[in-house]
Amino acid sequence: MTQSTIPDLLEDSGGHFADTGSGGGDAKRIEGRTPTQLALLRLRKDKAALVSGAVVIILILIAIFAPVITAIIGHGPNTQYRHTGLSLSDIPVGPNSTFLLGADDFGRDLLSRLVYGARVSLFVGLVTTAGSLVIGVIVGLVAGFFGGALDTVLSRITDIFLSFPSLLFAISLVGVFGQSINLVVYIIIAVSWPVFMRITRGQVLSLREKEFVEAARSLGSGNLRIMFIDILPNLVAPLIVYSTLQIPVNIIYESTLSFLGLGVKIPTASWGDTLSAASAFYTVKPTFLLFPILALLITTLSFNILGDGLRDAFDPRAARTMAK
Amino acid sequence: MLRFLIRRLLYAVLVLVVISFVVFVIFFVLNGGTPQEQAGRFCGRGCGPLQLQATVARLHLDRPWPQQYLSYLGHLVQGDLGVDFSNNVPVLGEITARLPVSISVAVGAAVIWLIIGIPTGILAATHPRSFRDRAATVFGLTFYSIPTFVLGLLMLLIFYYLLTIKANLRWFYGGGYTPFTQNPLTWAHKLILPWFDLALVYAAGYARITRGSMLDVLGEDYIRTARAKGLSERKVIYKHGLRSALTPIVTILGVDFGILLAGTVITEKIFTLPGVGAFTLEAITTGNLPVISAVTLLLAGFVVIANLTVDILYAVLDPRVRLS
Repeated sequence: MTQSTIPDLLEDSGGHFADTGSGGGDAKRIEGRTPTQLALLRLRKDKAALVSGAVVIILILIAIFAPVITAIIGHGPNTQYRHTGLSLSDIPVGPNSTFLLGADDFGRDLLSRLVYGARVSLFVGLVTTAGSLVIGVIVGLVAGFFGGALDTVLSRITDIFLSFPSLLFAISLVGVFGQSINLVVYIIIAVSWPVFMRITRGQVLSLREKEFVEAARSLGSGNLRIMFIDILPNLVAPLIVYSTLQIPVNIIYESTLSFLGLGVKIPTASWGDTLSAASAFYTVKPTFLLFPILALLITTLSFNILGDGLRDAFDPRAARTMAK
Repeated sequence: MLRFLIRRLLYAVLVLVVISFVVFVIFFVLNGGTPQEQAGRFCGRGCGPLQLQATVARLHLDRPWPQQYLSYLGHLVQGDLGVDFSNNVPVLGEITARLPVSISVAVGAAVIWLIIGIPTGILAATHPRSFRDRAATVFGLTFYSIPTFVLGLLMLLIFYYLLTIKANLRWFYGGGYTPFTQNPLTWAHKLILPWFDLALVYAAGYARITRGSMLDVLGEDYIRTARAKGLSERKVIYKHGLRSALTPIVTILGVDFGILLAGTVITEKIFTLPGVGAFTLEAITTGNLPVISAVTLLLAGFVVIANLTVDILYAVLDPRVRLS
């Protein structure tokens, strides 16, 4: 509604000035832009965010087409080349014409491992962020909208999850149930949903007092309708921003768990697991350690810069701060 | 103050009981299986039928779980955290023998991150938007986005591989531990890299928090009053400003204690330090449940005690807390 009235009004006033002769008759037509269009315009000017966005897309493509890429390389991620990949004293070879980035401690192609590792990292990063987004938004909506004792209880529960030494929890769960990617996903969701709960609750606390909620209620809308149809769309921009910033945090968490031997089951390729293996060889084969570090840093940095760019674009008033 | 102390102590005891229950549920209830199967997990693979029977009796595994929990709690109160089945030694002794290593890492890192973080934050706050402020922000952004384990591996590459192996400058150790009582200098020398690995990430965060908190405080009326009555700028900032600015930092330090423990697990693995964390990770690969459950419980207990200490400190720093 507002999108059509604002340009109409502007056109009217333009016409008015034209009549009095103070403005030209060829007054430039002012286009109406939605907040989303404005945000995308701001984003288009942010070179760093655009480059990071491109890197993120490339990474996602690498993850999706991992089998195709390893077929082109000619080395499967789990195939061991004990004769060509390892030296006589079982030290992995460095980058050469057969193994572009060298081999790992089992004589497997490091590049193939990293390509498949991108699958695990991005899968875990995206799935856990989506999962914690859904849980956090629902709990936050309920807590913020209904307030009172319910809000107090839900907020306390969130605080407990936030202050919980999550790595200890991960250690004991992996100790009992053994390594699995599902467990990794559950643990990371348990750690990261409070972030979204807090953001949602904070926004809903102020949104529920707004006139449009009163208007919806006077039209006979129920609580569920107000929460999900009226209030939720107002949260889309901050949630997109914080999801983008949460993905690298969760990717790091997964690689930390895998690095400690608490993550995905071997022989599944994971950057954390590769780093763990490489840390035993860094004195003789530093490139083995360097490449997975670069993969991890490039990925997390891209998501961080993209997230910061999105934040600046969607909320220009917010100061440019660190992702936390 | 006394009432506050008693209330806070009772709360800490309650939290400890809840933690013991959660650990019990994870290790005994969720684990499932017949009493014999459960006993097998706590007795090791080499256990004969007689030993299994003894374990069932000792842990009351054939009783319903509430009774099991009470007996478990009884063992804990007596300081019996179970027996490491790999060498038949009580777990508590094994952990306390390794505790000095982990405490050395954790305390040293915390001291360094406070020494770097708080002054950096104060400098940034007292000279907002200056070069120093910008430099502090860049420092923060750089170290905040690098995960602890990647920073540790990068340190090994730069300070050990490049300096020690390539350039033959023996400035740093690549790992290992010397007890403080044996040689304090070697102790500190070997721990420098682990300390900075853990400290830099958090120093960056603390600099930011101190900056924000200090800027808030310096905007208060009483600071203007202090300036108006002619106090030196140094006195205004350090005596009047810093005391209130530090309260949020003390709170966060309590919360971060859990993260610090998690950090020691990571640094112990990277720098091959024989601490509790490395011990636990080893127990995971061998499925040594008594060790894993005992460490989880003990470290969670540490977190609770750290939070308790911080709350009491907080009450000393800020008299308003005692009344609420």
